[in-house]
Amino acid sequence: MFRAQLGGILESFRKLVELDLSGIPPAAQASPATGTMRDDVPAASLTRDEALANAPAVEDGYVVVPPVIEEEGAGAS
Amino acid sequence: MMSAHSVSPADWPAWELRARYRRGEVRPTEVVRAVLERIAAVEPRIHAYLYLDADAALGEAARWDAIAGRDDAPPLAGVPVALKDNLCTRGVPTTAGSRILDGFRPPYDATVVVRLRDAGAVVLGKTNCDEFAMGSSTENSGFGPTRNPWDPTRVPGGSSGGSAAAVAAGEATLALGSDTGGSIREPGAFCGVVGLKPTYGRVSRYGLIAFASSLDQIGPFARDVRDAALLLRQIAGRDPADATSADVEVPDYAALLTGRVDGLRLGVVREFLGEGVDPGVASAIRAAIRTLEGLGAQRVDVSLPHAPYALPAYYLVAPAEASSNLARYAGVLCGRRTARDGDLIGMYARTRDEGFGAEVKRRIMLGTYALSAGYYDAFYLRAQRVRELIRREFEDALNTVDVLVGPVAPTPAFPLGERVEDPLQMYLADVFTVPINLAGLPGVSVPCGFAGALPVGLQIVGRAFDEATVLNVAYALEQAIGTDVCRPPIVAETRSPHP
Repeated sequence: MFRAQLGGILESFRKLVELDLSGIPPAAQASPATGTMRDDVPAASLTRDEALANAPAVEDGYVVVPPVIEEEGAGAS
Repeated sequence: MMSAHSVSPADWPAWELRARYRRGEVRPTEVVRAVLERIAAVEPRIHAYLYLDADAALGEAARWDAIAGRDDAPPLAGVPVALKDNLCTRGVPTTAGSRILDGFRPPYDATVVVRLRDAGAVVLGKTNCDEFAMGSSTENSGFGPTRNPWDPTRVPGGSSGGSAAAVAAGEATLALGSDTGGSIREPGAFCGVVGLKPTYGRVSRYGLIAFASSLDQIGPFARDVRDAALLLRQIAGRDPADATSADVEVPDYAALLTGRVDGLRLGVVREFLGEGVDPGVASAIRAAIRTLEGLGAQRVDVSLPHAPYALPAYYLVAPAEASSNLARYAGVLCGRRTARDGDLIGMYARTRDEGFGAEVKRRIMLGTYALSAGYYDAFYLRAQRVRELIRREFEDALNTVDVLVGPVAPTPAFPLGERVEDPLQMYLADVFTVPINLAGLPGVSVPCGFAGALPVGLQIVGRAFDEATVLNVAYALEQAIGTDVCRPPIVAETRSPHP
């Protein structure tokens, strides 16, 4: 289903090829960021418990995920 | 015969609530109770809300009972508002319409939510939307569709369909939505309410669940233009937590509503009234333009020849950004995780396969494809160049006219189910709204008439950060048409207990 749908969508987008875009630079956003950075001042942040409260699996303050490295025969890390 | 303004406080605009609070005619708890009654009456047919906390809303309202009538009360004291469910609310479920965020309770409030609470607004709950704001009908919600209050067999538009329907049906006085490619303006048009997409950078996106970060903007829904102006003023302005929020002065939009448009140069976009526009929509739009001309606006025909290329450019740029933003949903830090066993990569894949709906998967695939080596230049980079071309074209046009006008969408609200199997048809609903996001400009949808029994919205687009002019043109039209005509039949039904 996805293959046919995406094929049709991309086909309809081929009209972009018609355009002469020489001399037009790509725009990542409409208004170039004007360097409005905030002051670099430390402020209150979430506690560890708050930050982990939504994680599906937590143990001892860490997020738990399935093993990435096999236990037996694991090479040097 | 009862007057439209004598029946339920659920139908009063926010500015009228404020006046009545001052005169001591009604209290916030009574208003919130009336809105909760309306919700109970119509919600089984509309499904605008994903989460509602009546007790919390009544508790908040009670805090304002003694204060809302005072001269120094904050601007939205005791006004019931609804929030699109992609806005983070501290400790309150926030899903963005996605099953993958089932159970998520954000640890902080979005900046707009903080500002609304500071302004005295009473939060009722969270409204339904297309999953991660990807859609034009709210049918892509993981929690079932919302229905249009004008005709429950039809869609309310999307992606902010729940917010639009809630305001239309008197299930909230005001609401917030987000607009990445038309997601405020299109449901505003379909539901017969005012919906404004501000200039990119006008409103902080901090706490908005990201879809396409260079296009997303939060904006107001209201039953009249004055209310939209009041709400915009409260949420707009620089926020240190969002580096893209602009440090541009926020005017008192409501005070600037004069309703005078004499001498205003009204650009009528030729490409927006061509083939493919429903005849009922086209005739309502033409009538609205004549009304504005009758008020003294000077009609100027404008051509934006590259506007038709905005749709494919948008549907490459937005999915590309989405494919990056949505990579964080992997069952690790928040939301749900697959129950099936497997290794880490398998866990990511199964979590996403189970948690994301079909449209979100389509867009992630489209986006990663457009960004992939070998296709990047042909698709993504080309789309970004087209974006610049369109941005310049709008800039040039708005150097010769004050606003651009046309329809919000080519059709009125379409039947539920009509386009769910055909994504390209669904995307076509956005053909007149996406160019404005690519150009970063402000655009409003204001009710301007009907196509059959369905409301039609006029889109008014202005210069960057000139929401004041856009709102004033909408106000002029609204004053000429009147707001009482634009209430859905479902509201009248709730007023006659013995049908």
